[in-house]
Amino acid sequence: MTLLDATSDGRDFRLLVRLNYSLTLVAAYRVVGLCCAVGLVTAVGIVTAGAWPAPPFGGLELVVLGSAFYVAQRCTRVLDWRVAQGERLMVTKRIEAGQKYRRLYRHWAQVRLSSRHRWYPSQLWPGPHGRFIEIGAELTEHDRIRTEGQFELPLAALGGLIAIPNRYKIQN
Amino acid sequence: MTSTVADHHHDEVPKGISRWLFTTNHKDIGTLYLWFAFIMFLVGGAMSLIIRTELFQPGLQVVDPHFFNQMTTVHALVMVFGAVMPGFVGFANWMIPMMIGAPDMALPRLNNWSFWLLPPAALLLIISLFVPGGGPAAGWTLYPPLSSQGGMGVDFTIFTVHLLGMSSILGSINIIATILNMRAPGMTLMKMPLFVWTWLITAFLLLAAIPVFAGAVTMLLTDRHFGTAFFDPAGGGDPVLFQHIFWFFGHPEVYILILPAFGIISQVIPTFSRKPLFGYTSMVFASVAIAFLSFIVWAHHMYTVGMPLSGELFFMYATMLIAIPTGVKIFNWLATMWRGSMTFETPMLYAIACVALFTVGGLTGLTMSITPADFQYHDTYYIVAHFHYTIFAGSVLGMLAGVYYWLPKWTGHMYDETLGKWHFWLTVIGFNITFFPQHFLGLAGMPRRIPDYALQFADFNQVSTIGAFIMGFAQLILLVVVVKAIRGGKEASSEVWENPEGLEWTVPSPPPYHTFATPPQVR
Repeated sequence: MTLLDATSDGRDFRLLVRLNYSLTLVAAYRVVGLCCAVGLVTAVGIVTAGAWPAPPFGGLELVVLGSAFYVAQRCTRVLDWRVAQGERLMVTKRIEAGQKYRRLYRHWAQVRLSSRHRWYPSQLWPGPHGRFIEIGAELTEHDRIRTEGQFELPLAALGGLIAIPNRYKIQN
Repeated sequence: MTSTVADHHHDEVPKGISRWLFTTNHKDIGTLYLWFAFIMFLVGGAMSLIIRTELFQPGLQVVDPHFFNQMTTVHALVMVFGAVMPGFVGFANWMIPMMIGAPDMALPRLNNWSFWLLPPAALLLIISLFVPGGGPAAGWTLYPPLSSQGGMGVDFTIFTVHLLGMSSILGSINIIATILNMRAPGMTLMKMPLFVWTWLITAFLLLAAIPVFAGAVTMLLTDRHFGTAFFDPAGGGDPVLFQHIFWFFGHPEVYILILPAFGIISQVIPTFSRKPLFGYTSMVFASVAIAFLSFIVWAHHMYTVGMPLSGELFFMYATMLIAIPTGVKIFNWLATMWRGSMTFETPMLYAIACVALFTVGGLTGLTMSITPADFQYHDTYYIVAHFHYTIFAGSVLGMLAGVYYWLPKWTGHMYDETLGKWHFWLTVIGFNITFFPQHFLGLAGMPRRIPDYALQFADFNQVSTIGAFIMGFAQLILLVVVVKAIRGGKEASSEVWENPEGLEWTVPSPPPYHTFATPPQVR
């Protein structure tokens, strides 16, 4: 999901890319913890009754649940910002380990959407050639394609002042 | 700065078979689930017509007793695991992301996989009817020793149950992760539509119940082939243990089938009453209470196995308690309708029928919760009538209300109201002709799961069979209605109905392939 704020002439814009964020990390731990606690109590009862093959299925399921929450939480912690003011463009990528910045000269910035295979998720790379930074990896495929469009729009607004010939754009 | 939404391009819809095979779009997967459920509904319905044809007259006319037992077993498995559950997952896929303002499900690829586990599972179950020894014939409960002694078909069924269970678990985990992590800004838990709430609770019920069932059928498999004796008294096992484990899953399963229908009804009734839902908070807590109680009442299905008196008393009172939160829901729906500006379009008709007929099923359930009375009703047609009044009248009519309510949103075209009403009246009249007489049959002592019966039960059975055929063939009207709406008709506006509540009505009909490019703000 992306949020785009731009001035009417498109010179200044701010683009935020992130998933919706509803549950805090602590709340996520609590939900998974509660599920594990209920599962444990049920498992003790069932094993006591003699049906010991049942709990391993519950355990497997809790592992999948935990993984799903981990993936969802990791995605919501990743946050990408692009701020452009005049001729400067800054891409900020927040990841679990910290933040990555890339300051770009806006006239040279391009957006590249690539895919290794037709059925493989695409990758979105803004930047001047040689200094690309991947963003929006946590988005759905459709969101990523749309974000590329949203990114190109304000770049094109400045491109009107100093046009970037199409041949310099990286083709997939 | 002004806010801009750049959604003017890049909204191409993939084409061809690969769109459906590899799709990660929640709407596509929802559509797949709904079609799959409808096909299974027709397959299960055809089996029920075979059953009813055999029961039209006393004596054996059409099928042999073993095949009759296979039909009763597979009909139930197909309807529960192949039609009703996937049907509601289809609704969840289509509607939950749109209702909470999310772009898609939290784990779209897992979503695709959850669906594509279903067709092979269904195929295994149907193939089981054609293997040596025939399909499973022990009833959908798969009680040993009948299931321990069955043919290869039982093994097919066990693998089917594992695949269907895996699909349900992955689907539930996805739904939980989506609802808890993907809500739009401002969409707090207590602002979520009731359909989303009931699905969240249902997903947790599935998580708790399915692994227990998976364990039970695995024990059955090891008893059959690997020399264990979990359920074999000759080896120190106990067949009643299976019943305890099965119903620990089986009773919550009933609420898994009904809670999403309650959610749909809670969306439909306020729209056509032109009033907000009465008692939203109490509805949420009633759903949670029903879910909790569903885990402590399982043994009311097995009063006759010989439990201690204290156990029978506990399960009797706990079962009766469920009537309280269910009653809260029924009265809240009635209060919503009270003095509302009601109109009776097809979704509303289905919703009202669902409330009225589910109440009949609930009341007969209350009579069965009384232990001494249940000794009379146990394994009679009274039970068959009761659970069809809950599962068909509750779940399926609720689902049909949802289909007609959201069909214009899904297809972008209004459905044929006249055909919709024909479908409604034939279904409801046919349903009552089929199942109401079965109460009398049960009270008179006719046992369930028999292909032949004593002469005095003939009249009610004939009436019941005529009703089944009316109800069965009426479902073809639904197919016509849906196909007509897909192919064209009057264009639906984004709101479709008069001032309905919910984010799904803020997007066009049909919604764009990718719904929320920017998160909606919920106040």
